[in-house]
Amino acid sequence: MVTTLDNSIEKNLNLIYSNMPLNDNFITRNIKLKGNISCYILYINGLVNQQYIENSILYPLLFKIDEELYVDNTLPKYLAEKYIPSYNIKITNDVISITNSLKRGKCVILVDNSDNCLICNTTGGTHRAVTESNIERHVRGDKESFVENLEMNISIIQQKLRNSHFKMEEFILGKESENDVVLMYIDNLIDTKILNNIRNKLNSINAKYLPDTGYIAQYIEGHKFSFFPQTKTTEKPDKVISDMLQGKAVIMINGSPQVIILPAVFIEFFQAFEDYSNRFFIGNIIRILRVISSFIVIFLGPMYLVLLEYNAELIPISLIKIIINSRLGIPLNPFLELLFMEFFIELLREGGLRLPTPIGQTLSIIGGIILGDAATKSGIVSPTTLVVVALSVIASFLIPNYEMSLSIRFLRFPMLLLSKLFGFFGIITGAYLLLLHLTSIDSFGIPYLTPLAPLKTSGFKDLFIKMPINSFNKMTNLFKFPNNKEH
Amino acid sequence: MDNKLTNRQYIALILNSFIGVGIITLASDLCKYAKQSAWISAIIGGILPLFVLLSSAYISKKLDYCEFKYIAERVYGKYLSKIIPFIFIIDSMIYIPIILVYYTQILKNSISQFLPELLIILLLVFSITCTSLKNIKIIGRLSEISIYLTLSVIIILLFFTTKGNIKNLHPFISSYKDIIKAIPKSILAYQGGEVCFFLSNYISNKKNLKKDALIITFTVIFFYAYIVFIVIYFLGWELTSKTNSVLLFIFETQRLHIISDLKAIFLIFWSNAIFLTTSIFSYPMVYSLSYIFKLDYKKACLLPVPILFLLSYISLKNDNFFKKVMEPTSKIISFILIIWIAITVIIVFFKTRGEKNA
Repeated sequence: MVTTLDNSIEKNLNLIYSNMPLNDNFITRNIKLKGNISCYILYINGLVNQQYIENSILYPLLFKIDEELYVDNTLPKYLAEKYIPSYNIKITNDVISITNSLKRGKCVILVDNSDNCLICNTTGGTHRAVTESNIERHVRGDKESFVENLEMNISIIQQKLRNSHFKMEEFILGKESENDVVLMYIDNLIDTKILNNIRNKLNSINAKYLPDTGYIAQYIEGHKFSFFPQTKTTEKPDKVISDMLQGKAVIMINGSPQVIILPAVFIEFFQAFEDYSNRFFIGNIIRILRVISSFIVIFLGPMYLVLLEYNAELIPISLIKIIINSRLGIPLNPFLELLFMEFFIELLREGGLRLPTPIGQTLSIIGGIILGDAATKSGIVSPTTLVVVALSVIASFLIPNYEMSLSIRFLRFPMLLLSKLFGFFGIITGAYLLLLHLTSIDSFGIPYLTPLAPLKTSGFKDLFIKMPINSFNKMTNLFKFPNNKEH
Repeated sequence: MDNKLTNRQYIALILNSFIGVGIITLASDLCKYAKQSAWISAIIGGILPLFVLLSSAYISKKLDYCEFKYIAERVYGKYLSKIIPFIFIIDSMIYIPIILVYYTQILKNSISQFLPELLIILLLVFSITCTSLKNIKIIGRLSEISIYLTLSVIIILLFFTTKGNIKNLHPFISSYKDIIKAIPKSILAYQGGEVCFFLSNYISNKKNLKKDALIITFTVIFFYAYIVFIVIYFLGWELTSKTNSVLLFIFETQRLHIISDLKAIFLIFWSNAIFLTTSIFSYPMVYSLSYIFKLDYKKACLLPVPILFLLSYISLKNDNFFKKVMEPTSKIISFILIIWIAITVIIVFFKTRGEKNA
């Protein structure tokens, strides 16, 4: 198969046509340069900035040439140097590069009797402006968030990170959709084994369509059936930079404002970016609250169930009296009561998520208050059960990462089932199996429970407690491939 | 990534292999003989782990830290070396059900009265198998976390220091004869360290093996002696000797505003140690099965499951079988293993005498 241009302009045109979808918006503009030299300008309407093409390409080529042109292979280069005032121009003879450029909103200029062509960056189209993220809100720090345009996202990163070791690698993934994907890292900080692992996994993606980084994460994660995310998703450029400076890689895809950071270990999902801006005590209290909250989410409901159903003797008499009184006349057993309430809360939450923000919020609040109140008044659920479920729901909001919050939330259900079947022993076994799973998974070669297991004492400065900012460097590189000799 | 253990993981693994049912019953067992000096017997019993771990370090060093099967082959030859793994298989197959039986009985008498024994055993064997299916590196990581949970009992027990009476410990040395009488019971609590023979070749920094052996020994001695000491200090030796699950009992005596006693909290911490101890014990068994029958490691993990389940269930249902078959067999096997270690040290000493790295 021919992949390079020829001297015949017709042949070249046919070659490009055979590699491109010939839709109505694919424009081939034929012009004659001075001396009746045939020239073709190719682009896809809608992807380019038409005004830019007219002003910077068509106008100079048609009206500014005031000399006899010498027709040979150097003509495109001569035109680029003397007549086309484009800020980004490339000379190539590679057909694949030409078609890829056309699909990305660039413009191709073919000249007769030349076996190369010009590719001008004329990318246009409309994009969403850089705004504050709706998902990740910060009180302090940078308010900018990524948008759907890849080039814009790259420029946001480069504006904030002026590091000479910052590197980018481009990939075209998705057999049918040919999505632009960029892998970013700081080459003197990232472990080469991790980087090669990521590269290999990206190259091995065999997908037809990749609209979002979530698809990529699922393709490249090592433990696909795990409850826990092995990559971190964010919309915030400051998080991305901070993580790259810790030796991690970042994957961006054109069309998605979410980028993925990898590798990611368990404890990171409980560390918010703001923790480092906050004062020592405030930051730590919030972080400890988050860790406690995840225990509450997983274990509070099952513990309540076990204490009510099997081990009432463990509840002090004064407390059990209140609980028993609140449960008088409740037709459902505690398990069904909890399951019903948890299911109801999930319905409200999922419903609220899909609706526009103001309506979603109203639904959650009104639904929560009115239906909760109605459920207790009608005697379907007891007030204590409502308190337990509400506490675990509120606790789930403290987990700063959405994926981890989802994973922890849904862990309640198997734990609830285990507690119903085996009582306290079920919770103990569930907790053990959970710990076993967490210790056995890894994120691109980094054990998921790093720095707890394998123990890395340097990581303890920023674990459940964050030491004062001057006593540790946030950039400490924990993300090196395990070297057992270090321990 | 290779299947290597860090020195911390090795220490945690061996420590976890020691700490099992012993911590609950040791004080009671020792007080029956040594009275208020039981903690001294607990310290003296530490001679067993010291011997086992130092022997392992010595043998491994002399035989270039090679895998267990090569140690057996180099010391005992091609045919005799096949018998040694059998001893380890029987040891694990007897000892794991014993731990499971004790644990199930404790659960049945405390927080799982409603649960059929069959279900408890089933879930326990399932959890052990799940753990065994992971490689030793994962079990090492798990031990690294679990050991902090287990050792945190030391901190929890500190709360009892204000509630005890120093008179309960006086006189510190009651009778030398009584202390010596309690030593066999104390030695039994230190069973389990033999697994170190199977792990030493996985350690990344093998030069520290002797240092690790000393750290493990002194930590486990301190842990046991501390528990016995605090229990006697809190309850007195008479009450201690009359209470079987004495550690559980002292947690039961503590009441909080939101929970009637601390028993459940303690069981959460301790159960983790039991899951792990039994999983670590299963490693020599699975390794030996895989070596003798030339099986894939994962298949060898599944092979003993029905036997473990049946032995545990029969032992639970038939106290006679447990007391007259399982417990005596376990003691005999442990004794055989100690003899085997001593003989191996002697053979290795003579075989490697005069060698360059000796």
